[in-house]
Amino acid sequence: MEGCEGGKIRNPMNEVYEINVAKARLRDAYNAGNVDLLLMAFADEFTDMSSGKPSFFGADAKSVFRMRMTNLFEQNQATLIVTIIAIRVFAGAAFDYGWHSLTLTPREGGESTTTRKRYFETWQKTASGEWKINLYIDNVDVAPMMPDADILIQ
Amino acid sequence: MVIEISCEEVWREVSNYLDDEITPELRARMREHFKGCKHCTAVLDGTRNVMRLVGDAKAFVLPAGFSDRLYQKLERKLSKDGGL
Repeated sequence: MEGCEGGKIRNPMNEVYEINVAKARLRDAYNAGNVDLLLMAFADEFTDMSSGKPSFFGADAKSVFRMRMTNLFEQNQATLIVTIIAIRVFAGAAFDYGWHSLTLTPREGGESTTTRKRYFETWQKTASGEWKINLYIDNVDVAPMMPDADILIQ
Repeated sequence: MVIEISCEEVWREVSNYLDDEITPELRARMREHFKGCKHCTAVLDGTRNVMRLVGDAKAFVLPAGFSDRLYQKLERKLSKDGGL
């Protein structure tokens, strides 16, 4: 699948690689507790539908996200494991989905907690050619299991 | 920095990974992915098992006369069914 944007031939595999790079930077930002680096992964105006939190839109989302992450990193050492299931690119837009496993270790001592969430996010390509997240949504993962017996019978 | 890689990309490259026919960069990305992805680790183990089985000639040693018997059986079947 090849796309053409502004007369320039695009190779979707390169775009997939670029999104993989952006996602790796996001992971490293979490693991370094670096809010500025983390925010670079997001568009200036985005939609944040993180589970357990109110939804925020536009520029508000980035401000609220900054405050939330600053507090999180001040209080915890974070370790994020990203598992991307798939990335799909459509011209200047893309989406990916997968899992985020976030382990938080309180800086003042105490037990680590790990939360695994399944996420979906959309990306937009900026005028300067960078991929940025413009919508993020997730929910808490459920361990794999067989369907209930009554569903299997049907 | 190890660049992320998706499950889909891993599945495409898993047999090349086992054959060591990928770049060191891609190998590092896949190795990192396997650490956090049980699904792809299962695919890797399964593919490795299949490759071992296929690569193990002993698993496919046929008994003496097998080929003649198979040929005769096919010939009988074809003449009974009126050929192809």
